[in-house]
Amino acid sequence: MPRMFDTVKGLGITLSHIFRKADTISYPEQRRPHPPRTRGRHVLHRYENELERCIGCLLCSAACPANAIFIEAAENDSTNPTSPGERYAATYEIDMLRCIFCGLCEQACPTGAVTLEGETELVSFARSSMVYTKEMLLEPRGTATRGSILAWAAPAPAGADTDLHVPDSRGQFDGAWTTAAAVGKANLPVNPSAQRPTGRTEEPQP
Amino acid sequence: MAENLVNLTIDGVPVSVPNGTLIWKAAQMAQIDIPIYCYHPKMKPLGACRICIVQVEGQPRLTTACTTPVAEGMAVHSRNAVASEARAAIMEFLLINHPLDCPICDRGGECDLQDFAVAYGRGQSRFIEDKKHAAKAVDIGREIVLDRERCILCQRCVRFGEEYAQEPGLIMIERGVKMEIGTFPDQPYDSIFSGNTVEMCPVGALTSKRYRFRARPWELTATSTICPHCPVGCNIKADVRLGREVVRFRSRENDDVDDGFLCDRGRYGYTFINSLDRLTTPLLRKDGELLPATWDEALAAAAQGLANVAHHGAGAVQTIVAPTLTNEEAYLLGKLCRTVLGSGNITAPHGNFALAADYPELNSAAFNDLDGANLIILIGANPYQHQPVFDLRVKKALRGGAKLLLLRDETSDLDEFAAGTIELDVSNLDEALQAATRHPLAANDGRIVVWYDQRILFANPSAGIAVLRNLVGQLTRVGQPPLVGPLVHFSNEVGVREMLQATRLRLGQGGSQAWATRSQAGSGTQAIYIVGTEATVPEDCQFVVVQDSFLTDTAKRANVVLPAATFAEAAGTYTSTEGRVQRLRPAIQPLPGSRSHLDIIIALAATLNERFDSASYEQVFAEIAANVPLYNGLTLGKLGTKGMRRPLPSALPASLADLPADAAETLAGVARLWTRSSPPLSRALSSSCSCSPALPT
Amino acid sequence: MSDQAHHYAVAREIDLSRVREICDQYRNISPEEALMPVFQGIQEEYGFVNEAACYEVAHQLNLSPTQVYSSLTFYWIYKWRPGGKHRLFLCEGSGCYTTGTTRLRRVVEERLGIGAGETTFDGKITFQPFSTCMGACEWSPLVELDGEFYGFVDEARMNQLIDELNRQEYDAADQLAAPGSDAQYALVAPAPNSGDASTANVAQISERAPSLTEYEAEQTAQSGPQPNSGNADTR
Repeated sequence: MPRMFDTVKGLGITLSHIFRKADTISYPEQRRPHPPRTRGRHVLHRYENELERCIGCLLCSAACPANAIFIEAAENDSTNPTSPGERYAATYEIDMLRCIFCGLCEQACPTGAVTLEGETELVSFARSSMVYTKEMLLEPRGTATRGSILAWAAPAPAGADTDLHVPDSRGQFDGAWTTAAAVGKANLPVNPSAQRPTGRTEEPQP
Repeated sequence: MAENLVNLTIDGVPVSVPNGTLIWKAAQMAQIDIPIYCYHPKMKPLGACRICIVQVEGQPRLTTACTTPVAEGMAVHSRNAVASEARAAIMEFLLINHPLDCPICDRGGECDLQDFAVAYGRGQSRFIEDKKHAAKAVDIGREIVLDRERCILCQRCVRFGEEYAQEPGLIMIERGVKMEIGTFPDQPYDSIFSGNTVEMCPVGALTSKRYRFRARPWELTATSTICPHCPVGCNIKADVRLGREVVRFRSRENDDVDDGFLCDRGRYGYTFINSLDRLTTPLLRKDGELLPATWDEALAAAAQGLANVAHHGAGAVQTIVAPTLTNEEAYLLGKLCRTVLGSGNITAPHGNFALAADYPELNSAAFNDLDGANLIILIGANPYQHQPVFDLRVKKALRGGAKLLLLRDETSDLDEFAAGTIELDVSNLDEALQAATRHPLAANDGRIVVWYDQRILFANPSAGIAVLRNLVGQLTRVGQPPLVGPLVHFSNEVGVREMLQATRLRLGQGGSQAWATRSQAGSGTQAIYIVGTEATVPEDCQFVVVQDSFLTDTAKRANVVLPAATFAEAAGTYTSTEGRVQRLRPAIQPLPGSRSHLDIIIALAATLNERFDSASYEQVFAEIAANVPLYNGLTLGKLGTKGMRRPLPSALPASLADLPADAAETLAGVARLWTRSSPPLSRALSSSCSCSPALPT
Repeated sequence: MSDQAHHYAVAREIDLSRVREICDQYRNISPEEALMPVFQGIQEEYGFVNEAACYEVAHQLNLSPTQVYSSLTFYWIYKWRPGGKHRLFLCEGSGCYTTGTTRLRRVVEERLGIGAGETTFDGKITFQPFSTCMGACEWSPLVELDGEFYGFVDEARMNQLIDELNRQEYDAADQLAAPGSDAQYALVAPAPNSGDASTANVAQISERAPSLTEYEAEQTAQSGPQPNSGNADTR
């Protein structure tokens, strides 16, 4: 009677699972760590000199398939700049209800200013409070993290000269280097001679 | 014609073009794109940037397409291996010192350097040395910021000032690697045409202060509309950011009107649209104070107040119409006054000129006629101040060989270009015009074009018109009368006047409604309905309705204030000073709380128990085309994007006496209201609601 | 220094009536043509052409000031500000650049303490490198000092020219001041390796710096008909 055995076999599987260690945890008292590439809430990063990485170029909002990002750019006060360069984001808002957490904004950003981080618990009682403003998104002064961009970045080949494609030796982001590889230059010391790119030079290196 | 055509092939495509055409232009005709930076179709070729380099078979070296005229049998290759290689090399050179700060550059997204680098460049630079660094964000004028690092030294802006506007502008300083754009030390570039250099800059070197960092091009939607700041009617594209905010105007090239250029008054005259001072709710005076009210309350109060005095007589309600309203609004307003309010007391508070319906021979000139003219006579006009783009057209015609005869009573900005000047006394026009006919410049055969400023008719309209008609007769050469055109001062002055004239002639002085003509008692203005303009209100006026976008001084005096939309939110047609009817399209929705003038007029009429047949501007325009003789046969479809001149009546009325009895009188009456011309440019730029002229006491 | 060398008057102001006189000399030719000779006249007289002069010229010739300014700046020879008594020009055109102008520039900057386009604090020497070719590429690198050309200049020779200037100005100052107060009046820093071979070389070559023709002849005599070979040896 094979049919009877099938039932026993099925019950056996059930029984074996009863004694297995449970996969569930009692959230929210217990939490699991997120993988480093988790795409959760956005964070706007700063340089170590507290300047904002965001230059208000609107490329993230252009890349956004959900139209979730609203930015208004403005001109930096040259004596008290908000970001390196001439332009900064005066308003930066992400509507988390519209956002689909695809990460295209992170890819589009020329300075690595916006990354999607591990925080996924985005809840609110009001729709209006789901629009995250720049103040909410910016990391606090004094912190200068790179965020998940490091987890996403493919490592450079061994022995590659990463300075080779920097046309500007000042080491500051002035727009000269606009690929994602350019991030992290604005906090380097301004010292032309120290940062001179390798390549042809006037005299042979000693 | 056929023998003047030259046959050549470009990339294997056979092309036949007139002799003397440049290779670049010939390629355009064959729909082959050759990139250009330094060349500008409206200016002489220079050959500075070399990006348009092409190979011509049989020539040892590559040549620039923008400077080489075509020749018979020429075989041009614009994208074979040799030309492509050379172009990629030139692109690499152009990018050597370019900062590549595209993410923060206003041009990023609509930049020729970006586009051509993608299309023709190598993709990678071999230049690893330090870039040349130069000053960024140099404030070089009232409206312009210069970024010297981004500049590729194409000299378009320099040549625009030197060649096209013919006034001191930007210059090249130094030479070689130090060459840069600049001005004389401590002399800003303050030209009323400076905004054009921003538009023609192929990179982001010249940026506009008002647009700087406000938007990226991909967020913008462009609406094809008309500049409302002067009667030339330049075609513009209004760029709107995210459907909310008008952030800039660009030229929408219409060679018949503006030749592709704008003045700064037009180009930057949009800031008031986004002003926070705009009225967003109707206001109603209660106990001496203007308080917010609903539209229904405000319209009911306005209708009640106007109806209360309307039965005091034909002139009891005065209506004052802004010369910046559209034809449709003016027409409906005329209709409202005459059929509902029963008042012929309707004025457009501005100048005077001979209407085309009455004097087609004084409205015959088009802007295009300047280009083929032998002699241009300007009477009392200073177009640099009042019709700036017309000034550019005159200068262009002068470069084409025309001579300028200036009849002036004050210094004009065209003085230095005039071949002859005659002192003009506005009170004695005849003498100056006689002198003009005797002037040696007027002795030659050839086409003569006369443009007169409307202000010469203020003093004595009928006599002035008679003198002008006399001038037409005397300047007729070989049976060809001179072409004459008026230069008015406000965007739709011509159209508003024509609409009011038409409603007067057609609908008559009195109203058709019984309640409006009930009482003949009383005279003088007891209520004023002011639409879109400022006016001086008499102390004893009982009731004032103001319909405007801002709480002007006039509006503060009003009993009812109706918030109106601006030109950027309105649809309709404008008639330019040359009689070209062009469409005004709404770039944005009316500010919440405000309504377009047209909607307000219709709603007010409805409150007064009059339902107009036409409820939209399309229907009103159809009504105009049917009822106004000059506009007979026009349709919005025929106007298209470039507009068309309304046809002139072929039969000429004999004289002023042929006019309806009240016409001459009204002309004189209107002239009395006028004391000054349009606001000078500085005021127009500084004042947000400058398009509303003041009604003098 | 040769006797013909033109020493510029250190004028601070330009007499506009004199500018008008200069303009008047060229009334018979078109304004555009007159521009260059008028500039040359002013430059000869005062050593520079400033805003006021520029305006006056524009006014006199009926041109726009911006146009005049554009033409003026196109030519490096015209100075916008009063320069020093001595003018040291360094050609940085492509020909000269490839033969080592950068090193000469460094020598000047180190010894005179002034950068490109600057004048020493006492108004004695103006240093001006320019990137527009002088058309003497066969003598590159080329230096012009007070109207005189010096070709095939290497670092040692540049030092020598500066020593010469130093000696001239120092001696002049010495005559005025009390003898012995040399350090106080020394115009320029001594050569970095003074006291050894290089100064000895200078002393050997000549009492005064030879002008181009003399130097060329000397070089040819030393190292055969190839003028560049002698230069190459020193590098």
